[in-house]
Amino acid sequence: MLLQLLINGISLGAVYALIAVGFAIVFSVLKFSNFAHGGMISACAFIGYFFQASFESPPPIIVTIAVTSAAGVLFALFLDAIAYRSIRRHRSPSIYYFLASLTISILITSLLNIFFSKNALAYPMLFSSTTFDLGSLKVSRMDMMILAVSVVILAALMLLINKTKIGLAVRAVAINPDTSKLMGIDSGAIIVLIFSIAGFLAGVSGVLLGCKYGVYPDLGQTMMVKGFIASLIGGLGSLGGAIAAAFILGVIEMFWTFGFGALSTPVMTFVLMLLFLFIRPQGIAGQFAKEKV
Amino acid sequence: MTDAILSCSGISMDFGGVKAVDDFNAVIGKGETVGIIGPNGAGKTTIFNVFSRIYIQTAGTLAFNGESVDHVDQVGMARRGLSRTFQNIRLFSGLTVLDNVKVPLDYKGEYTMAEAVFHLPRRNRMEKAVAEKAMQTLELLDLAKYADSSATALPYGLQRRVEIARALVSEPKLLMLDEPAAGLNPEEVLQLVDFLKEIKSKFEGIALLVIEHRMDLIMNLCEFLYVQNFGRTIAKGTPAEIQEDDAVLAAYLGEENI
Ligand SMILES: Nc1ncnc2c1ncn2[C@@H]1O[C@H](COP(=O)(O)OP(=O)(O)OP(=O)(O)O)[C@@H](O)[C@H]1O
Ligand SMILES: [Mg+2]
Repeated sequence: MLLQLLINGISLGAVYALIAVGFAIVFSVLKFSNFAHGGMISACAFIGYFFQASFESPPPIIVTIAVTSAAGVLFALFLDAIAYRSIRRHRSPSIYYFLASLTISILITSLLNIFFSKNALAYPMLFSSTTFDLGSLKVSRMDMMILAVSVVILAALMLLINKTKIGLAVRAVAINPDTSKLMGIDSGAIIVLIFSIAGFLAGVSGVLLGCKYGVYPDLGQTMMVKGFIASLIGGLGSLGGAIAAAFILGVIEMFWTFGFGALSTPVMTFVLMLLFLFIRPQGIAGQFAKEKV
Repeated sequence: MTDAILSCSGISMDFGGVKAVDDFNAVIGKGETVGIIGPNGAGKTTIFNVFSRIYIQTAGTLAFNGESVDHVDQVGMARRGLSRTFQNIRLFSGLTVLDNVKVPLDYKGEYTMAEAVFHLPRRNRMEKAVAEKAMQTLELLDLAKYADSSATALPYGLQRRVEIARALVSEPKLLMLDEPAAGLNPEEVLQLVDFLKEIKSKFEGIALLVIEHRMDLIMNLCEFLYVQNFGRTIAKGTPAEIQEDDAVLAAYLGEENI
């Protein structure tokens, strides 16, 4: 049973990690909490659903994820063009990014609410049988698929950020955008890249969350809170910290729900976050992404 | 007179009534070493900031390598071959020395996202080329043994050198150093002079523009000097001429000698 809970918790943590990383990567460069991420996730969940539902016999889920994440990137670029670009051009403070992202998130959710009911739409069945046996364990195929996809994407992202020159440019801009410009790095282009990555992640998590919980307008907002908490516990702006915290959060939630019921789980989560804010405000990773000089 | 790498005429920079720079005219020849001296607040750093386009001058024109760069931004200036260090060292904290030095090489490796994510040969080749280039520069400047150290954890003198290495890795045509000797002891200043002379010999054709308070350094290194005071040029000439100049002695050197 313990092992079963652990596996479920890790799978839950994997989705949280995707959301948390989407949050953290924007925070690391722009120093604001990108609440538009929740709206993006909802929108992508719907996009994925309708793509999937438009076929007689649904394509493999991986195709839906690929198409939806591409749509997520385009969506992010669109938002950048209509909302963020002028903030950048006027060199406005980060608070404007924050306000714009909050507005966008509410706008997207409200629009979805107009066109779709609050009742969740279910993705077509992905697997003929929902679980498989692993020794004495009953493992959900869905959870394993979610875990596998998340881990691959997270690994690719960490590789991109930590091992490539583009990733180095992202880190440099995160540490000091002004100095980076003087080194010939176009920080505007890096910011667009960051939003695209966030859009991509929203696409992936939108489909995965839609598969797991059904598709409804508030899906993204609800789940984003978990990602936000994980990125906060992980140390705002630290990708590694956010991932670690997300997995820990997933496992703790799973055990708590098993022991004390689902009703008190959100309370526990927020208390955990507050505890962290008091005891270790710099988060697990131990350092804030360096502020601008 | 050699070809100019940078020339400016009538450069002024106002900050809400404060004329930090007032009608600055200068020509820096390719391969030359030129100094800017002057007391605190004379506008020296502001001149650098205009040259690197952090500020857009309120009057005057600027040309780099024969091209007008009045409408070029900071990124464009860096890519044209102007690089600099800072009065207060500005290394990327949390990055290693090697990563710091790799940053300016970054934009040259332009490959697609797909290539960046997957291990493709072209990407690997570029990554390798960048790492090698950065390592070469570190070796050239005797910094290779610190490659994996965290840059901002190094002693001050070494941080200055790393910052210079980072400025040099893209093989700039003009390197601007803002008070490179600040915070160094007399022995370290002598080492720095040697270090800068070495750079001149190892990076062929590079021009240096140096802001400095330390007379020993400036007199040893520069072929030509501009002396600034309250935003204006009060004298210019060879170090020997400057040492004889009455206005300079009164405004600046005199002060120093007391
Ligand atoms: N961004 C700015 N806004 C307002 N005033 C500025 C700004 N930058 C510089 N100044 C003013 O311009 C004048 C020249 O400053 P600058 O930093 O160029 O002097 P400096 O010669 O480099 O001095 P130091 O030797 O102390 O480095 C100073 O009076 C300074 O207060
Ligand atoms: Mg200065």
